[in-house]
Amino acid sequence: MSRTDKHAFGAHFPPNCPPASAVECGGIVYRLVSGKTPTIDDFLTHAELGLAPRADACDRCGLSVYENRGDAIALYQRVVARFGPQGTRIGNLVARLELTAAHGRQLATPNQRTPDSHCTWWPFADVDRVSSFDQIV
Amino acid sequence: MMWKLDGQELDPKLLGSLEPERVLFEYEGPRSYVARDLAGGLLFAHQCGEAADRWRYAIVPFSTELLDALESGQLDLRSALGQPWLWIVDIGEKGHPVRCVRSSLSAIPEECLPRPGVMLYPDHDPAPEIFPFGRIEESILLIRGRRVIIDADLAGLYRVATKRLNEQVKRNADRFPDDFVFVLTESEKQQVVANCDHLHKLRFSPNLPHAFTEHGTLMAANLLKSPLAAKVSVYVVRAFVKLREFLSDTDFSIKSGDLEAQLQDDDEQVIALIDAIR
Repeated sequence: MSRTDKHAFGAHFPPNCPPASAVECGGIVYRLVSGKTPTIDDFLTHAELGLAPRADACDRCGLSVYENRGDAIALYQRVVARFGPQGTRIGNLVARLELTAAHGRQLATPNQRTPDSHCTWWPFADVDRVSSFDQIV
Repeated sequence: MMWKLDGQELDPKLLGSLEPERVLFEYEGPRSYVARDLAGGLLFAHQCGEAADRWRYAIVPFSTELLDALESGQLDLRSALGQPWLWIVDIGEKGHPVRCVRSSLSAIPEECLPRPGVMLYPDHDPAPEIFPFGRIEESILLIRGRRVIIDADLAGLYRVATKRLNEQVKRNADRFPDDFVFVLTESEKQQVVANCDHLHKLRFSPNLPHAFTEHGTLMAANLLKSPLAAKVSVYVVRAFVKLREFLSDTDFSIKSGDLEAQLQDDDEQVIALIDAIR
């Protein structure tokens, strides 16, 4: 599916975001969420939350997902160990998402130091992000 | 979680813009980073709270030496934050400091702090289950007739700075009798340096190293109050026990071998008994 008016990104996206190397979404990915029934709050970007103003402007418009469930769990353990269970807001459940081309674009953005299956998902403005939720795993 | 801040309120601009000079740990934004104060001094900022409209950081004065130690896995995050001065700074939506309070590490709720022993980079975190047993075993030396681990090795296993480990010994001297820990003499230190390649750096240390016996390694792990040290100490004790059993078996074989040689041919029953015990 190509980028059309129907599937446009939010007006707050900076120019050239997502990067040209991002591809259509597709397949199973995993994301940390806070509840057994994820809500839209689990799928808001930092740009939408107004957080991490110093982070890369395009990264702030994306959502972190992993192609590998184990990497999502490792991320949780890594963050909690470093910042305490209450030091950051991070979901403690792993949700399996099934993304399609209608959900937006994604790009492999592995951790530079310890390469993993981290991807950034830039959702289209009109997409129901929660609809990607499949199950808690 | 954003806990109630207590302490001396300071002008949020006092520490400068706190713009990250280098991000050390990033997860959807900079969580640990270094910045410069107004005078150009190095600051280490580590996230310790988050709300819908702001991020909270513990900020301490830092040095390039500490930064090197932190990045190379010689210094854990909790120890890095244990500086004489500490400020809690809230960074608002626009990325500017909006509140600053003079505080201390002990004022930060435990659930908002890094676990003791956890390193900046995940690849520096020890995973006790994959510790090669030999690494611990090789650290056990025989000095003054006792099997011991030198402080630098023990600190490495427990993932704390050697200085911090020895501080605990000094502060809790009553818990470390001579059969738990002792200080090497200069000649013992030279012997250790000469015989243990991995301890060659001790040559440049002005201090005499501490040697921890099996009991001392356990006591040190307890005092460090680090879950990681507690976990690793189990492996350390197992290494001591395994080595003891191995040497004990070896001693018996040597002694029984000597005995066997002294026996006459007609002492077959005794030889059979020795074989059975083996």
